[in-house]
Amino acid sequence: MTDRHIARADSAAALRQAFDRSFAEPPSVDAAALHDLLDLRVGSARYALPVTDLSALMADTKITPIATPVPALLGITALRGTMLPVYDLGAVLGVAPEPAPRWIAVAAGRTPVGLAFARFEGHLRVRADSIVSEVRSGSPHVQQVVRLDGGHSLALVSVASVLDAIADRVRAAHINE
Amino acid sequence: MIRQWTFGQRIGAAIGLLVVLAIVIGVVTVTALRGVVASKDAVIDVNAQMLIGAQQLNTLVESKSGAARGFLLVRDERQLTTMQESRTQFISLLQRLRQQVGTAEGQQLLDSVAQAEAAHQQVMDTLIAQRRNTADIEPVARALDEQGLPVRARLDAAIEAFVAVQEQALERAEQASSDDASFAINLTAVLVGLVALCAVAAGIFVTRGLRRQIGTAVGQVQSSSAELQAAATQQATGARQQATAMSEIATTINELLATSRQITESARRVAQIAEETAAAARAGDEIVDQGHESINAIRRQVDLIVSHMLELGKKSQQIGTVLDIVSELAEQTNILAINATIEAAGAGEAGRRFAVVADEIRKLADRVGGSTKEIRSLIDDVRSAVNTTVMATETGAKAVDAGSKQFGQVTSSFKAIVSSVTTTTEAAREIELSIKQQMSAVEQVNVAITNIAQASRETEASTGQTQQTASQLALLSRDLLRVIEPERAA
Repeated sequence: MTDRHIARADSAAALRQAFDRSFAEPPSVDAAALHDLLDLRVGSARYALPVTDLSALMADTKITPIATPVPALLGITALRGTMLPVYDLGAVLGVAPEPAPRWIAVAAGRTPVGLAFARFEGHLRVRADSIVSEVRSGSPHVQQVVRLDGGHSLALVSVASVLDAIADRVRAAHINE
Repeated sequence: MIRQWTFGQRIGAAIGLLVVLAIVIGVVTVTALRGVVASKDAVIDVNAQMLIGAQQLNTLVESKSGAARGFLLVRDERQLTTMQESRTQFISLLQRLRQQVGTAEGQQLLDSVAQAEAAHQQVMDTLIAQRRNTADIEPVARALDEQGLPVRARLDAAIEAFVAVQEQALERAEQASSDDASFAINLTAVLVGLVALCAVAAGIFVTRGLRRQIGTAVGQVQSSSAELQAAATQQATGARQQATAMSEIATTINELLATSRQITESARRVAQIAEETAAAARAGDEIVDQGHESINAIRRQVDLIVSHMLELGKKSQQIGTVLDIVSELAEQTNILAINATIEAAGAGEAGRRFAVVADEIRKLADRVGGSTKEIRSLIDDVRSAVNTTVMATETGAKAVDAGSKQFGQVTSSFKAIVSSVTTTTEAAREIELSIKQQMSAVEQVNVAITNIAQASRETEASTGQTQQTASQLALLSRDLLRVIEPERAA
């Protein structure tokens, strides 16, 4: 048996112990002090979306294109029997649009709106103090930044700001029509 | 052309010419003699007989006249019979002469003679009748003188005239015969002279020709004898050199025989070594066949390894497919966990415990996703290793194939070596046999060379005899030249 086999056997045992321990130990941190975020990549930049501002996450969902004057509107899709528009998150954020975004994050609100992006890196649960305010020029929808271990940081996208911008574009499109 | 005649032809021609001339002389002489004989015969048979006949006419006239006078004298009847017989002979002779005489003059003279005799007989018959009637002789004698004598004189004159003519004819015939004989004599003398001249000319011609030809032949014999002497001298020198060379060749052949024996021994050893080499090559061929069989076994094992590795690659691919499903399930689990977290967050305080479970599910899904990535990495490593192994085994298979081909080439080389060695063995044996045959031939050549040397010595000896013979021939030619041309010989 090689060293790699021994290391993987140890890893499996650690995984089993961690899984068992999750049932045995109480939560170590107050859940209220934690924020759930979605780590995603738009273009070459990484962004974070607050889970509390979302109602669902979909992958590989068919988007039906529609004729629309709104530039960022990719089409419409269905979520649990409800039709909702899907917008290109990169176009809204001012990043170069991607050809075939695979992921759709559904923004919570009175009218659900889908925000499409290409890559989903994972789920993050960060402490509240990891989120700091930081205004970046050229990014009106980012007012906060998430500091990660190792010196990396994510731009925390304001879903409300994005929805407002979409609403503005829709109104502008209707006005132009 | 005559200059090219041989001695026999020249002498034969000369003798033939003389024979022809002799025949001509003989023919001419015989012809001339025949003419002379004919002339003489004519003189004798015709002219002499005519003259004799003429003379007989006188005799018969005398006989008849005498018998008539006898009757007149004695009146004896027997005289009359005699007279009548003489007259009968006279008339018969006159008839014969008439037949023989060939001239008109002769015929006229004979007619005159016949008339004179008839007249004379008439007178005589008259006188006889007168005498028979009378016994007196006187009147009869007178009548005889008066009548008989003139008639008798005319008869004698006629006969004399005929005789004279015949004598003249005889003289002419004799003269002609003498002329013919003289002509024949002269002609024969002329021809003899011509024959003598021709014989002299032929002798000169033959002598000159023989002298010239014999002289030329003697000159050629002298020249040839000189050349023969020179050739004999050269031949003697050559024979001596040939004998010397034959001795050297015999020595060389003996050395060649010794060398051939050494070559035979070497060829026999080459054949023996070639047989040993062939045996070693056959053993090597068997070893190579065994090695080739081992290589083929390795090739089969390599093919089996490649097959197993390809099967392993397929299995890895199937594992990758299953892992894709697991990864998809993990991702979907993660999505469900995130959605559960979202729902729990929306449920507020009531969803907190659910949020914990969802978080654990999400963590588990994350770990499964991480594990699937590791497994995929491991599968990629396995597939890469499989590909590398397959490539390595294919390379090994190619190397085995190359080795197999090389073993095949080695086998072919060993077979070629065996064939070449067999050929070498056969060639060595053929060389040995050929050398033995060559030795036999060389020994025969040696015997022949010895015979040639002996023949050369004999040739040298016979060359001396040839020189002596050539000298004798030169002396003989000088003697012959002395015989035919003394001035040149001197």
